[in-house]
Amino acid sequence: MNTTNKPSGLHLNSEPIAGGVILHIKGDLDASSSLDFDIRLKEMIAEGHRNFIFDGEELAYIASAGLGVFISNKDDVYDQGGQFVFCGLKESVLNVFTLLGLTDLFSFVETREEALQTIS
Amino acid sequence: MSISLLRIKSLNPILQVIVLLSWAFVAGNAISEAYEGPFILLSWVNNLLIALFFVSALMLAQVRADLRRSTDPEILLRKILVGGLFTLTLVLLSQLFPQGNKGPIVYFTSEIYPLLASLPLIVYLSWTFARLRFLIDERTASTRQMLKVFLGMLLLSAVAAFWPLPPVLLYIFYGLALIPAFSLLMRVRWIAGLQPGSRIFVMAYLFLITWVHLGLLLWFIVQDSQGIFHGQAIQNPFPLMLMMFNGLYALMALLAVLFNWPMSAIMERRNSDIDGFQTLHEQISHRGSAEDIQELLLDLCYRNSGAKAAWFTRPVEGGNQVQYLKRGEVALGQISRWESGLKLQQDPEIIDRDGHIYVSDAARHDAFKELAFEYRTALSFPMSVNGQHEGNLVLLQRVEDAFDDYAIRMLGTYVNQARLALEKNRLVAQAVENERMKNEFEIATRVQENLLPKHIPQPSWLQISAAYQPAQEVGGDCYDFFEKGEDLYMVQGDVTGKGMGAAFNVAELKGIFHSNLDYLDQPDEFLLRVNRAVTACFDRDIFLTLVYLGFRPLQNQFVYARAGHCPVLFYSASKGEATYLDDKGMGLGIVRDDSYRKYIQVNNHRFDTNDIIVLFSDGIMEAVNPESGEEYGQERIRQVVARHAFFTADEIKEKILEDVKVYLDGERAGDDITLLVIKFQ
Repeated sequence: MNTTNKPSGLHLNSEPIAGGVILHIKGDLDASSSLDFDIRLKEMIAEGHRNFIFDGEELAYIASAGLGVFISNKDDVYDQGGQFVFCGLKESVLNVFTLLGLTDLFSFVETREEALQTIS
Repeated sequence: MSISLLRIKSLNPILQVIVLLSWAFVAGNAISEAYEGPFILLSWVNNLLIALFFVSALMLAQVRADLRRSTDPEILLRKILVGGLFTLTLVLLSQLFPQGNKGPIVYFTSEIYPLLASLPLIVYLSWTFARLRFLIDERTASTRQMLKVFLGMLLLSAVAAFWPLPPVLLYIFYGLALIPAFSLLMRVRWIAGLQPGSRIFVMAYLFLITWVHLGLLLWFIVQDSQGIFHGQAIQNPFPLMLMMFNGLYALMALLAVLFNWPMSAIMERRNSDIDGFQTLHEQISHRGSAEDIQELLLDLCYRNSGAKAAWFTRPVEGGNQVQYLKRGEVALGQISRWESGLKLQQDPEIIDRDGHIYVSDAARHDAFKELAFEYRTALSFPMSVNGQHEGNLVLLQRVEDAFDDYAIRMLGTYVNQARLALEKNRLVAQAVENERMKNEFEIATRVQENLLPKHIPQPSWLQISAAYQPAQEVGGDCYDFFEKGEDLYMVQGDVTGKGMGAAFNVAELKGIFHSNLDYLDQPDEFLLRVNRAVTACFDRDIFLTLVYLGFRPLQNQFVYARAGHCPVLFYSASKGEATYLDDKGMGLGIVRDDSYRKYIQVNNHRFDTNDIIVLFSDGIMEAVNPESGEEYGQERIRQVVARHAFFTADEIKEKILEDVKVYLDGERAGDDITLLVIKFQ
């Protein structure tokens, strides 16, 4: 397991799986931490990962800049047959995705197991 | 007698006349007496004229000296020397005439000429004394007091020419004059301020001036036995005192320069220390950059401490590397070894309480074992500004224990001065940055406010009340109204991004709306076109949320579509309840092609009189209560509307804003707050 600590209070743990990666997101995805997150996500896409499971159990808050990271990287992943799956999101965070209509675009499930099934 | 009388400028021409006239009469009288002329002055008149000559010469010199104040010792002494050589030549001219005992020519040489030569002599002596006064005057009360006393005694001695004193009184007078004279002879402080280059000239001048006065004195004594003024030289206290004083003062100053030669090196060092301070100070007021100040500090310390090598290490921003500024001969490899050795020093004996580290002999410390011992003494000043490490200044000397307390204190003061400068630099930079941020914020706020509609339509069947409160950081909220015949359309949106960028995005968005006004009555087409434009105009990470509302008053109907924005709150007057309209809809700029069409949901809704619609931005929903840390959410606003449904649109808006304000409890909202309240009537 590979751990990255960012000074902005966001912790990312990435765990490779077959054909993709599980990203455990802990903390706040606010305007400043989103910049780091975007860099990290782009790196992983460049490394060839296609399926991304975002484990958001410990994601406390997401700002519109955080949503922008998923939206701006979406096409690169989906165009190549990959997808974004979110699991374990808190209700308040999920609500933000729902309001914006992103639930129609990405997959949202409750547990990691369901997320893994969604990919396969 | 008041000395200030001597300094009255207007006396100058009068005194010149008196000097010349009194001298002319005395000389004429002597000549007339010698050659048995027709007319000889009474003895007491002659004495009176001599006294007048002395007094006026002394006063004239003082008055003229005050007119031309010159304080450069080198120039002053040169003038005195030139004048002295000239006078000495004049008085010695008599030696060229034939010597002997008989005849009128011999008489002229031995008796008359000396009296004629006394004019330049007395004038020169008085003049020299008046000039020396500038050197003697240390600008202290005691010096000035002594000068006054001595000047008074000189005046007395000049006046005494009128009534030649009996020997006893004369000796008492000389004895008394010794007191102020000796006191003044010690006032040679000016030699400390001599420039190194002029010191040797000053010594030469002083040496020659001493000899000139000795020569004049000898001549005067020799001549006096044949009688100038009053018989023996000793009976002429005025010229005698002046000659002795002037000559002795030059001698004393000469000795002082000679014996203070080693001291002057120290004085020079202190002077250059003071210069160093001034340079540092100027840098502060001229706002030199941090690098400039560090470089200046290094140069000053290196130059003024006499160190054989010195450097300043500073951390490079955003890394573990350091930058070196180096003076003198020392290899980079040696620098890093010294640095790590100095860092290890925890020995309280060598760490001063001011924070500097003084290694008096590196050979005796384990930490420096690996060094070549080319240098033995190290002095290090770690510098930090506001708790942040700014760098380290190190000075090296070849011999051990090479820095004395004075040097360390001096260098410490430089470092402190530089630290202040750096601190001030940082504060100024911060203030400038704050000002810039404030300006940007103000501009962004103004831009955004200008983007809001100036005029809100007020048709007879509808009340509209709008509120916009920018957050500390400007967001991208906007709303607009469009009237088309009977119909009224309105959009409320929020573009992502903060600050100036967001304001510009809003401006662009307004343009997009206006270019698609033709499609206003077809919500799905309108949104699709806006999505296209947003996709084309904005970066991929920017998206916007929107609520579209189209009112058709003739049908009592409104059409609405929500594109990812906060849900629409609807109060039904007939049911007496407020609910959020249930719908779906995706933000714009997310799906970047026309497949967006399938995410658009257009809804129709009926409205009746007293029904209410409330639109708001996420600034309200995400307002956080400082105590609970919870967000305001959707439910609270629903309750406020339900409770105040009988009020006007304006009043309901105020109630909601007030409720949010109470909830924020003095905190500021993190995002812009936009609120639109629509009531049908």
